[in-house]
Amino acid sequence: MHKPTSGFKGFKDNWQSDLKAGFVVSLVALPISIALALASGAPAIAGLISAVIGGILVAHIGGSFVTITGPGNGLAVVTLAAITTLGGGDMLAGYYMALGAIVVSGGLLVLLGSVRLGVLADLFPTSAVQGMLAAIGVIILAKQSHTMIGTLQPESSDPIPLLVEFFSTFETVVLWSDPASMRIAAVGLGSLLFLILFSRIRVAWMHIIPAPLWVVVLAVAAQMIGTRLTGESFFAPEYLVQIPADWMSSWRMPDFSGITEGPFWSAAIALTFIASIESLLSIKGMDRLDPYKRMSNVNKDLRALGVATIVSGFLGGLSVVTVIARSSVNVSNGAKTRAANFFHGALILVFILFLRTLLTQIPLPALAAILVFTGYKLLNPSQFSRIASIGLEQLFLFFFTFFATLVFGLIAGIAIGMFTTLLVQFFLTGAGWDIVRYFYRPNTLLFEEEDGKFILNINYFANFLNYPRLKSKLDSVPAGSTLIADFSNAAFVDHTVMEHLSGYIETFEQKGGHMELVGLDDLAPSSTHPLGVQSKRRGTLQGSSKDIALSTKQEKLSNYAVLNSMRFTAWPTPDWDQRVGQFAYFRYRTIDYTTNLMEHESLDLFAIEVNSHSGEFIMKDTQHLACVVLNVPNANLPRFVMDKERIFERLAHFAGVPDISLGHAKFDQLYALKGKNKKRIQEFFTQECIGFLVEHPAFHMESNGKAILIFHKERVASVAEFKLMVNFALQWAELMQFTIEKNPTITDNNDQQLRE
Amino acid sequence: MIKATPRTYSKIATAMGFSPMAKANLAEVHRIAQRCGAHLYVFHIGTWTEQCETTYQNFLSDLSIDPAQVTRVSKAGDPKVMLLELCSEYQIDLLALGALVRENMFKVFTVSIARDVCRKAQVSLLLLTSSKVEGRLCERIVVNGVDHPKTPDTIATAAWLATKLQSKELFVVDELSEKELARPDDDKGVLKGARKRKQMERAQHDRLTAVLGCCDLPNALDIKEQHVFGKPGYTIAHYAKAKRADLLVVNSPDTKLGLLDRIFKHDLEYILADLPTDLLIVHTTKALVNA
Repeated sequence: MHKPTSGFKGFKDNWQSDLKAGFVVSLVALPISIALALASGAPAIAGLISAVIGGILVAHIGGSFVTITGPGNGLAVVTLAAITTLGGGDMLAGYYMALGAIVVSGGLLVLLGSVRLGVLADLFPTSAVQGMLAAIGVIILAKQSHTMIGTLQPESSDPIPLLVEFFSTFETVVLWSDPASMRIAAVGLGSLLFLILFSRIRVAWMHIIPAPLWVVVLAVAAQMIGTRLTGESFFAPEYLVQIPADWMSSWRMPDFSGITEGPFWSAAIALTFIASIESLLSIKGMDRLDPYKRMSNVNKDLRALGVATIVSGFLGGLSVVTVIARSSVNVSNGAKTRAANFFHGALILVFILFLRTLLTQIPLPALAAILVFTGYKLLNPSQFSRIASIGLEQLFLFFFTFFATLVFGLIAGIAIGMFTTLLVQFFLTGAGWDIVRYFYRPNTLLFEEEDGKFILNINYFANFLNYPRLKSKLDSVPAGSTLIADFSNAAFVDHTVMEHLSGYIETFEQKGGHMELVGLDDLAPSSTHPLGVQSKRRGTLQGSSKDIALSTKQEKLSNYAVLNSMRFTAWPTPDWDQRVGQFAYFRYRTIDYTTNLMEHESLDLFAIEVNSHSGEFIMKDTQHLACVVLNVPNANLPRFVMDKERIFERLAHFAGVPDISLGHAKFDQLYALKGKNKKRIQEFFTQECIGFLVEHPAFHMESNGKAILIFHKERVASVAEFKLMVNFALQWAELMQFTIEKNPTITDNNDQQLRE
Repeated sequence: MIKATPRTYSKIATAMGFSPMAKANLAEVHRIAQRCGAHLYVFHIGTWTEQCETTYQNFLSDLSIDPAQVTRVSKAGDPKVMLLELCSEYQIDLLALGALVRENMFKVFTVSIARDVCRKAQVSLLLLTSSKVEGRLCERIVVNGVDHPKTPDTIATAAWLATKLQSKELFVVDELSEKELARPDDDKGVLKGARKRKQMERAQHDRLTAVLGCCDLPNALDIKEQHVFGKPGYTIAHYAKAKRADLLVVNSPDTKLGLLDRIFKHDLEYILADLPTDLLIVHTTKALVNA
């Protein structure tokens, strides 16, 4: 892949993909910006201003490449606290004073970026950060759940009492009130239901428009149609978004009168702190998701965000931060350069200018439902089992920080989390005094050997406190090099560092280099990540399955393999990642490791289990897949995907591509077949193939022209399922062989790549 | 360039403290003395009792050391002061001591002591970390290649010692400061940094080649040059540890104001705080050009 050039040339080359990505992001950002403004206690326009300034300004002066900037989740919590405190109850006055604090925090951010304090982001322990983010999710959820059912002013103000109050008032508010209130609750709950069920909806074209926008569209439709029918506003006016027609001319300067008082500065500092953490973590996360693996200049970005925040604050908007959720949407829709951020901001401005009346028809409960859903996604309960599998002490740190944040607030929460992490490391690792003795001393050595290999040797220990030193050494290794990181002199390596290292290994491989971790064998399991355990295993047991006890499943698979002329390897070497990763299915996934490899001795076919993840940071989702890959290197098969549960459709580049009918009723009913070259595909699927596939309807298939990927379900396979899949693949291979021999023109050379 | 003069050790002394490591230390120093063709002096600070004599004789017989080849001197007084006095009196070239690998409160080897030893007694200091009665091979030696007038002599000494101890490899490690390199912000920064590093390495390589040119280097010895970026003092120690070297040879510290030395961490402090291997601090008379 060619890296897009920066500057005007990059813009010229890529503006189309950037415009498309920016457009999709703006559709997501529009409702979310308004929602976040309301969650902050600010007028709706404030969120929109921040998104517009974030997009237009940061695109020009920023230092990252595919990030989206605008109002953020963590900031909403802090801003609400600021507005409430500074206004002393008067939300409007508080808003103008908070704007002053926002402007000042922007200045502080510029300062942070100028003295290169962007490195601070590397100092936060992973589990504590995840706990804090989950708490942010719950805080947002707790407050907005009330708006969702129609209670604009709940009695409590802290998250846990708010949650309690929600459940206790739910019945009365929703069920036993007047029709007008029930309508409000209905639109809120209905929106939430829609969001939850959206991923299950099979209708392909619906997925082109993001869910939050659907919610808004449907809610506005309800409002407009209902108003037309009943003659008066279907939802009471206080439940609709307010964007006054004179929003531009009624602009007032932010109120800096509190600048001499304590609360003003504590608000400004809180805003700066949370803005920098959220942005830095999002920027780092996006570096991993960037398809071109470009390294973002975090200090330049911080300065840009600071300037944008100052401008936004003056114009009445919220702080501008980098948001990972919208940035992920940006990347998965094909964004290439910063222009995508610009387009997103510009388009939102267009929406405000021309669709203002429509925007004022949005019912608040619908937006609240979006926030409740977002809050729930931030909490992400599916991550609990993943964290537990890393280590129970990580789970403890996660929940400890989570509750500390809920009870004491964001800054105190993360501070408590960091301190507790240190305590846990002190007591659990057996190297506690080493931490005290050596944390201020240099502990890394990087040198180049005669053969050009880089050796990084780590002394004493590696944890989140001395990670910045390790990071600067890692960053100084040129792309494409081979790096061996030797931990044999380290007493322990903590989870945060292991997580960062696995990210570096990915980046190294992506840039054509190679990175290996050695010396982890003798480290105690409570302080190494299972991914670390895996790479440790890989390092010492590459390709061999002796010396480790195979699990029952692996033994059965091994026996099955022997009986079917296949060779079984429990822990395949890392190069198998590439052989599986060639398919579009893995386009936006990163393969962590593979297990249970079965290679056929005579056919070019293998079965394997793949562990991958997509997204980073709070958006990370891990997945296991058992699949078979059938290579047909000399042929040039048509490219297609044969889908059963609309799995491929969920990938952005397949949504909207029409199904190809093979004229066989049963087949068309069972499968969704998609591909660019309709004719070749229809030729490829002969009657025998169709017949076979109708008889064995359990599998998904993807062909990328040179190989075919077959899988059943997106989860770990039992031995029985494995066997079924391999049998299917063997028969399919035979059938294909037969088809190709009978009809050689199927494999000629004029197929085009399936476009994104 | 002036020819480098190695310190050829002809008079080696060790301090006998009757600690648990005493026998092993004695064995080690005796072996070194034999290899270098030097005369061995055993200094004891304190009163020489009957028990001392018995133990000492046992050591000598166990280690098959001919008592006639060893000069034992015993003197009472403050160990730090007396040791240096004895070294001056007998014109010792090399003082070999058993050292603890890590400092603790009671036996602290600080830079000031090391400096005093080298300056006042005009003696090189060898700190032995893991002596063994049966002896160890000294196959790999790491020597500093820092840009300093003392360096050529130190390297020459390391080479001389390498021949005597029959070592196989000599690593000349040049520590380059990262101060001039800005922390890379983005991909372009990384490339610029890499280019700058290569430039600096090339410049230092030219210098080192000249330095090595004026040393008498034995042919049998495999001499490797290594440039490493990092904090001076710490980096060479970590390198010696990573490469599992047997001996680390460094320049002696320059004479500086004592107070400043204590406040600002000296390079040698890092090495002394956590000895990676045996350490030889070579005493040379060439002082700093700019104080």
